[in-house]
Amino acid sequence: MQNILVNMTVNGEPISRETAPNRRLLDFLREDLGLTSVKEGCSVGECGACTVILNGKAVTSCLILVGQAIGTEVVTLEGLHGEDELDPLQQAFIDAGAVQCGFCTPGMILAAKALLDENEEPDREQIKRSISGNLCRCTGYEKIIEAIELARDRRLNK
Amino acid sequence: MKKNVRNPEQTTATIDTSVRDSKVVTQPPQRKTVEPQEVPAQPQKSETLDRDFSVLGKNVNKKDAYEKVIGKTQFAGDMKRPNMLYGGVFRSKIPAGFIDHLDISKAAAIPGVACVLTYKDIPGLNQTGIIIKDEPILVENKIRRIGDAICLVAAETEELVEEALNAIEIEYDEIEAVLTIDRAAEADSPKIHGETNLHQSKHLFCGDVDAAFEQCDVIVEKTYSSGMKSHMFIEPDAGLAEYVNGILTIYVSTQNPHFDRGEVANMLAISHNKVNVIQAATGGGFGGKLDIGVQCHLGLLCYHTGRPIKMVRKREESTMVSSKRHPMTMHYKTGAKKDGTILAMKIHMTGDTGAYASYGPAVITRAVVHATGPYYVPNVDITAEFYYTNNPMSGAFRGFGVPQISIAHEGQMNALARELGMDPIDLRIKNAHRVGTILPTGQELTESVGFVETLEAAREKMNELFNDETYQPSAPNKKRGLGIGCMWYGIGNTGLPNPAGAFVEVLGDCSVNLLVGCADIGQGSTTVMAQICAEELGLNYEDINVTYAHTMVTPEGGATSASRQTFISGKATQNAAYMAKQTLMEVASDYLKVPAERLIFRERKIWDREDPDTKMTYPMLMMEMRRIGKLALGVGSYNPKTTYLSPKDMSGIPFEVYSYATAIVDLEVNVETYETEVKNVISVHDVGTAVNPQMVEAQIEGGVVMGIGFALFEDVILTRGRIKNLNFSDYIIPAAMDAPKIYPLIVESEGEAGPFGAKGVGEPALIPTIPACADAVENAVGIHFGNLPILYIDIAREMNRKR
Repeated sequence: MQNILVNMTVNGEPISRETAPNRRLLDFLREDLGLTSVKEGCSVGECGACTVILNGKAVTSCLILVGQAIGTEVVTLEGLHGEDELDPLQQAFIDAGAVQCGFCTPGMILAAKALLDENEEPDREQIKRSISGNLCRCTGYEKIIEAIELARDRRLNK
Repeated sequence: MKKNVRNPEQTTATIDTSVRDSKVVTQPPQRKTVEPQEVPAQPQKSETLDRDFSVLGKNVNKKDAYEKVIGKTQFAGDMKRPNMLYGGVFRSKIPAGFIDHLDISKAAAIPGVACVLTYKDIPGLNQTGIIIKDEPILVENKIRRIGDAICLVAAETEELVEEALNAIEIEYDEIEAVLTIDRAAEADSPKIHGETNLHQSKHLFCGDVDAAFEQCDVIVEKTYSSGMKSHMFIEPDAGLAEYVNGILTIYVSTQNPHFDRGEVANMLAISHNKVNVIQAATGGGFGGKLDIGVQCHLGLLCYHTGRPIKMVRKREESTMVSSKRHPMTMHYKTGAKKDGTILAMKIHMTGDTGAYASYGPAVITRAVVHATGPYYVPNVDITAEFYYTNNPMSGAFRGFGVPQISIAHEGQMNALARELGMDPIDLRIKNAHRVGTILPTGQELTESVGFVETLEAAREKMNELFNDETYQPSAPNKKRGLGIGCMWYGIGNTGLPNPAGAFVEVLGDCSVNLLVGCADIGQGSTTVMAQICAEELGLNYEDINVTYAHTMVTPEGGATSASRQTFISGKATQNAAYMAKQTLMEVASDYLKVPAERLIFRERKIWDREDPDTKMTYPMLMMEMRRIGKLALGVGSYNPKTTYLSPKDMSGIPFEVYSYATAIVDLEVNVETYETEVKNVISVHDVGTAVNPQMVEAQIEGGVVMGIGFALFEDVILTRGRIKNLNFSDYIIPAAMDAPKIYPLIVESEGEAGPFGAKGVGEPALIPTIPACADAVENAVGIHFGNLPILYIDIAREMNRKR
């Protein structure tokens, strides 16, 4: 199997790598780039742990072959915060107590980020819908929803 | 948060030791004298009783939250080492039989395959199990379930592991698989272990049930059942093993690293201190990561190759072989007087423990001890039998059998309330456990019984949210109902020793190293331990650094199960902190010329409670410690005050304390699609003292949603011992759209056991929602469902039958 050249932007940095064409975007990010915040929970696009933002949309990276992502912009949790400052969502997840085991957390934050970037004032139902592809077995979702509401309000300086 | 600091209602007392005699007991529970119990060097209580805490009760940020939100937390699957191998397991595809022929030569010859191992490569004990060691690490000959481990493979890449697994050749001599407990119980069925398929049987009795039923005005008799459930933690089992300075070091997703250490060492016939198990960040457990998963297989492959090796299970493999919740059937007969006073319960339950014991003995014992529910019942006869089958291994799953029996004891209470025309909350309050209640085991409840307060708080919140005029279905094709469920839950292992330990060192700059064995699986025990340690020492939360679940460094912590860590590791932490504080108190006492017992340690200051101007700062005290050459060190341990239970009637003290809870569920049933939607849940929990209220709420909320899944969605589908729904695509757990509005309420009750009176909430959080969902469905559509889960298809069948 001949390698393919993958050019894409990951967390704002241009990337150019050769990799096997049967690699999923998930494997490319985790194994080739070492971005291990992208988690593998089910491998069939059901749990949402591997969620990344691709061209502004939250997607499950286990269902995307790396070749399909050539030329795209990808954001993982590692790319969300600056040197000294957390993204409002990251801070809100801490403050609201929305983190338990932490395995769904990267995907949850990224799903919420894609939502808030598209709709800066979503209501509770829209928030629930936006994370309905991200399963969490610990929190019962309540504190995650509260965290997203908190980040929404902070972004709007409420 | 609802705070409820209460004066426990004392029952008027005469000493009565006749409660366990075989006569009908109809009087309210009587107090009896409690023998003085052994008290170790205890922290002072003065600050405990007035609940004037500086760190406890505060919503400090979780210790692990920052690393988790920036994506830096290392789960075992995220780890990599130079020269690392990958491991895989060859598993049986049949539920019962013998290995007729096994050929690993082709697999072993593949270039890049480091080794293929069988049971012959195990130098020590080829048996594992938390209570009964009946599971082979690698099958020698007899296969007992689909997924039994037969061979191990180590190779340079994951692809080569797959290739090698596919190259292993096997022929089976298949025999009849025992797939039901009825078949298991028959004399001529194949025996899965030894001479009988009866795994365990129990009999708990007190009073005289038959005579008591004669005196009852009303008797309710029903059968309930609960299906098999899968934990579905989001992180599949994973681990990495390597040698570090000659020590076999295993990083693993686990709930019980100290148990893992012993199992790996015994397998390799090496001493326990030559194995170091370090808990990797663990992506959920709920009981499913208490058994040995990848630990022994990793250890054996690392032992034979000498190279670092990683194993990450695929979701399907993880679901197939990790333990499951015991399916149970429960037959209940409950008798009461016209005024609602319960006089007697006769209960029989059976359970399927599957191919191996796992936590089966704990599940049956706990289910029997809790079977009456949180109610005083003077005449009780409970029998239980669990059987081995060739089904998947049943084991620990959040609640150890209590979620299952809660369906029955709460179903009975609701049926009794309907029969008597009584308000279900009034009926419960009438029979509720209180301080002074004598349990069927003969134990007297002496403190921290907040059950009635949970009922009253739930009623108050329900009346605030709903009233008769506004409580209507949201659409004409929907029916709406409210349901109630309650529970009690003993904290720690049932009638068994289960100690935990802690080490504390206060450093010269007033920062602290706290070492605890307790595995943090995300619930927040690390944060809880830090809060308890800071409170006891009079330091700030931020001063405490916690190293946990690292067997070469931290003392035994026992399992993160049985809702025991806040209570037991928390008490061990408090005791260790207190030992360090005793040295600090002596030095401060000399320095300030104040008797040690008058000193207050709080928020990095020390002062005389009778003269607050006589004071010093913590840095001054640490300087004085250094000047006179003293170290502030502490070792603490705690083992709950329980007794073994009598093999005759299960009398004894199974638990030192119990948590209590009440849930109210508001749901709708669509009478066209038969779908259910839970809209609101009130869940009220007596936790003793809430160390971190936000984290208690988080436990309650997570439990509520898992409880909805239990009651209305989740069911493992078995065909000939094979799980058909192995992944999230067909084993449906609740998603955000299924989550209701949750009102978590906290009741605090007074007690001297546990750290500052704290109990546990991890498993209680799940339980009351389950029976409350069943009751709400019944109230919505007028049909009783005793078999859970209640799926839309069940509602459709019963509603159509009724039409």
